[in-house]
Amino acid sequence: MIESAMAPPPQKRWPDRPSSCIEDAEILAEIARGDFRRFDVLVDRYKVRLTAYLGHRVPDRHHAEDLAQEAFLRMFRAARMGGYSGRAAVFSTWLFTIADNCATDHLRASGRQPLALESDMAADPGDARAGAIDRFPSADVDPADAAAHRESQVRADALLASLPEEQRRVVALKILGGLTLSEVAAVVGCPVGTVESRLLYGLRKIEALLARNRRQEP
Amino acid sequence: MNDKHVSDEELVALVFGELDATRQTEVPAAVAEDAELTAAAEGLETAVAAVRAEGTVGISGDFNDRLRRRLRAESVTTAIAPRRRRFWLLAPLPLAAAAAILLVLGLFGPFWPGGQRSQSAMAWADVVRAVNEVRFFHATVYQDSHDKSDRLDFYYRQPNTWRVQGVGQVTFVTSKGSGVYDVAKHGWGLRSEKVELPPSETFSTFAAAMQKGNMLDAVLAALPIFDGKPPAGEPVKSEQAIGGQGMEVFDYAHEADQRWVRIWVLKESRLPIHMVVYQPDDNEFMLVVFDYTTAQPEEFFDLGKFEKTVAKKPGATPEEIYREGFGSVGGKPVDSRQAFKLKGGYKAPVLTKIESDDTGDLLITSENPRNRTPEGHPVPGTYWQQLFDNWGNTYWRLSPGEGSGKKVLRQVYLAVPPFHQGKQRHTITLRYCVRGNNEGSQAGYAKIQSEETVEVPEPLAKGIPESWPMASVLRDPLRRAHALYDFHRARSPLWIQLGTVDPLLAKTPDDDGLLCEKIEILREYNLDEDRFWLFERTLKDRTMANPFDNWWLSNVLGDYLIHLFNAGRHGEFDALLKQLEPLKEKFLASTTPDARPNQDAFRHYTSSLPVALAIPQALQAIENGPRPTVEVLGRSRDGWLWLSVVRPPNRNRMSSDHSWSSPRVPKGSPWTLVSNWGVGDKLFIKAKGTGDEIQLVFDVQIVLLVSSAEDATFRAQRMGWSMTVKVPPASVATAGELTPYQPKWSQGGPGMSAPSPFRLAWDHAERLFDTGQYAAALDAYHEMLSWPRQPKTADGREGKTVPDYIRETLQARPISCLLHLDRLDEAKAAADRLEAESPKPEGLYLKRGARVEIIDWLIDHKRLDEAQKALDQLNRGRVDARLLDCRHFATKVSGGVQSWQPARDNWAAWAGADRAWWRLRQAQTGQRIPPVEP
Repeated sequence: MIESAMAPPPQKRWPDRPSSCIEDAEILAEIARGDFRRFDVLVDRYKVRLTAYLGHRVPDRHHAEDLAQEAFLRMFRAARMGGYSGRAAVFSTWLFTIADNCATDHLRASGRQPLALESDMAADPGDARAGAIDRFPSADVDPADAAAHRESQVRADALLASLPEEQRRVVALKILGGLTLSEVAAVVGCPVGTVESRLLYGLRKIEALLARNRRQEP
Repeated sequence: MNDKHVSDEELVALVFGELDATRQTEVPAAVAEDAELTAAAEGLETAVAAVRAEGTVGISGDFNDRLRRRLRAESVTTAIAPRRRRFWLLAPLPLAAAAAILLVLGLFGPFWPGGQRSQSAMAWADVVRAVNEVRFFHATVYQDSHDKSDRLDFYYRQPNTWRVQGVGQVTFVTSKGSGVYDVAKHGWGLRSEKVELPPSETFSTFAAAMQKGNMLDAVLAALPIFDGKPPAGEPVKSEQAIGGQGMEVFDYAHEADQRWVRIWVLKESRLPIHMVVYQPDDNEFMLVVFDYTTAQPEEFFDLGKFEKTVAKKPGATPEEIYREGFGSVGGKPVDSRQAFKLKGGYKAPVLTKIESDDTGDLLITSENPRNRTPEGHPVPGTYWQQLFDNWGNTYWRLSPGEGSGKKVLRQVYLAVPPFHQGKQRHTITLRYCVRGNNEGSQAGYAKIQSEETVEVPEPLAKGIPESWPMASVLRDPLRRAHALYDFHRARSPLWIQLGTVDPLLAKTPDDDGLLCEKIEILREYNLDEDRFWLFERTLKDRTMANPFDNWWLSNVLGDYLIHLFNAGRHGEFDALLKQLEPLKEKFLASTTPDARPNQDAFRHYTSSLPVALAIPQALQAIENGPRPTVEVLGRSRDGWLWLSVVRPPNRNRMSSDHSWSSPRVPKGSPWTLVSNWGVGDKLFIKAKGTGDEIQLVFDVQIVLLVSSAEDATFRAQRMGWSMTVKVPPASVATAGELTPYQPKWSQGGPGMSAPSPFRLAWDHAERLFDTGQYAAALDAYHEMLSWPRQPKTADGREGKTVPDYIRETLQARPISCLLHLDRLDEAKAAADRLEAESPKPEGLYLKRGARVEIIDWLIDHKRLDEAQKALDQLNRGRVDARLLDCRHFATKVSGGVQSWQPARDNWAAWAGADRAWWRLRQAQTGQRIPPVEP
């Protein structure tokens, strides 16, 4: 059945419009019908932004691309079942909401919390590592655990990670996700004014951090 | 809001080009006229640019192909049409099936047709009657066919209340209304305020049969397995099946090669407990299991409550939706949240015994609470995390203890030295904390679940009791000190941290683990030159010989190689990489049974070494790819230079991916980049300075490929790439005359307004400082400090004001100038003034920074005694880091959540002073890596 859907399209009666003019919802409907001709157009429009955004939703940034794939898959599945009407939300809002859910599921499955809130207690050797005495080069120290720990430390120094969760999410959606203010508001579920305030506070904090880093440079 | 009536929100909207249509003229104009607003907008733009640069990600080249493959695979799976109609695949068929089972059970008993009754003690009519009397039941229907297994659950509760769920639907028929919820769409397919069976094809068949009075036909017609052609007759006792074991067996059909139904009924209660249906032609089998003992709570059937709850969980899985409202089974939890609730949340360990020794150590015995999070994950740490006593001591758990995963836990806690002996009765407070594991603003914050204070018994015996876990460690003073390594990391002063490692290193100087720990401590303090110096003289050769044997060593080697590259030591970098190449191939080959190098092995190899190894590949990609182009737009005699820069677009390739930042000028450059404004890859830059060429440095974010399989792994690495641009002589007198050269695309943005006088003066002073003109820089800073601090004054039109938030920084700069000019006394006086004038706690960094600069100057000028004295004085302000809380705290503030962590924050605040101590120690001992006593 799917093979026929992937067969060459019938003779076109009218020349195609340029891809940039085609609405997301229109392409989505085509894909939902099994027509993959404009698949790349839709994916290319969002994959970089989506991956960048997801990279800041999960502590293990290298999972961002996997999660972006999962978000696209869920989106297509839902679209095939008629889950996107185009009336309730613009496509990008819908896609980023799905991506948010993917990130939540990933965090839940991995038993981790969002990044940047690492506590000293995470460094407690009893949590994930063996005792301090024979900790190294003991074989029972999982390098992956150690790397994850170190990575989280490194990332805690990053700009976005310095923000509280609410501000970080809004800043990431706006700047990395490239959504409009109203789209961000729809994804986050709060008024546009609140989004603007969070952006302002978040960006000012980053600005201050940049200034401090600059001062501390040798 | 300000005098120009530009709100903060409008400022944000302006920066993102999303101003309301009615304000699109007024706001930019107001911002352009107001120096403070201009500075604020520029600040926000700087932050946006920084986030963009940081957020750059690499996308593997086959992203679309992989996605397409997965999508096609799914499409093929779902595109297989069912061979034959399934009754519960027709929405909203679950209700019809429910009705069918109901009829089988005799809940429509009065319509049961007459027929040949069994002569046994139990007749089918007795079963019908017994079922009529139950108040609730749960029937689970399993259907297996050649290609698929389905499950459907029927929950019934008197009066006439149903919830049927499975195969993607949850159906309600209740007195409050009815509806069919589609779990995949997360929405209602049918919703009604009435009590009704939703219409369906199968239900129509069923209803038609009922109207004819042939209930048996109706029931069997509703069961898909008979395809509307049920066997004739009513259930009769089976002659073949053996009764006994408290059960009777009824059949609808007697011949094994026909479609048949068999029902098992309990003799005593006369209730059916399971039913089997088989269709030999299509090899379809159905099993129905009945449970009359587990009543679901009323809210389970409350579709209003269900609706509200699932609306809050848009990402919930079908299983989570099915379990919504689900009650426990006879008090036994059926999911992690129920288990959490039934347990009453997190429980602290139950303390059963405390023992002490004469060194202050404790052995705590407690019952393991076996906590799990509401999501079902194990809680890290089932022991008491924080112990402190009434004598001013804190204790650190010696890991590992005994009993992890068992019922009884025995954990030794070390008294963190120095141990304080009090006179009063010795009590200890045990604190049990759990870190939040949910998303949201409170995630990750440790909350105290329980705290209890108990008396510490007198030591049982002198010395460490033999029966204590890890008694041998406790007896060895050095190993004992080293056990506190994790406690002190990122909490205690540098000399204490090194004091846990150095004495052991003195005994075993070649111990890889200890060396790695020491290097790690130096890394935390950004003492890179020293840590790599140590690495070169200790671990380098043996790590180069076996680079992949030990993750820790491999990671230090990777860091070292990246350091060499970034420091411009490219010859050494290339030589080491050449040396590593065969070892890398050998390692990759060792990961496969057929000894073929498997690049994918690096996928899970998380050290920094694969990143370092991939640098040449990325450099090649840059060499082969496009680079930025710079065009000089114009230059004025008053020092302005306008540039247009076009950066290469971000690239996506399997081999590498890189993106280009906005350019900067290197330290010491005679040019300052005053402002830049970008759209896409294009940048319009205003620079000020002198000279006939300008060097621009682009930070290139290279995403390095460290594995080549489908799920390629990438790591980002930032590298500097510089270019020199020839600057022609000035063609106009002032910057104003350059306006015609401004690119059209760049006109109209907030960043295009003239830089504020403050920004110009600041950049001028910084440039003087950067180029070593400290006397002139000092004058420039002092001049700015003489400006009014309040932003709005009569002078405000010219913008000669200093924003309050920058004033402290401005006060600290002259101290640096004075020290460069060797005017120590004046620098000290300026530091005193800075401390006196800014009592704000957040200014502590600056004040301490100024003091540290003075100490550094003293060290540089070999006035070590004075430096020591100044450092001692500075350190007198330190709090006892041992007693600081290691938890994260969070407080809601306007606009978000403010978080802090006393132990870590205190460490960060003193890191500069610790670095000064390290430099002083180096100068005092004449050693690059001076040893530290415990």
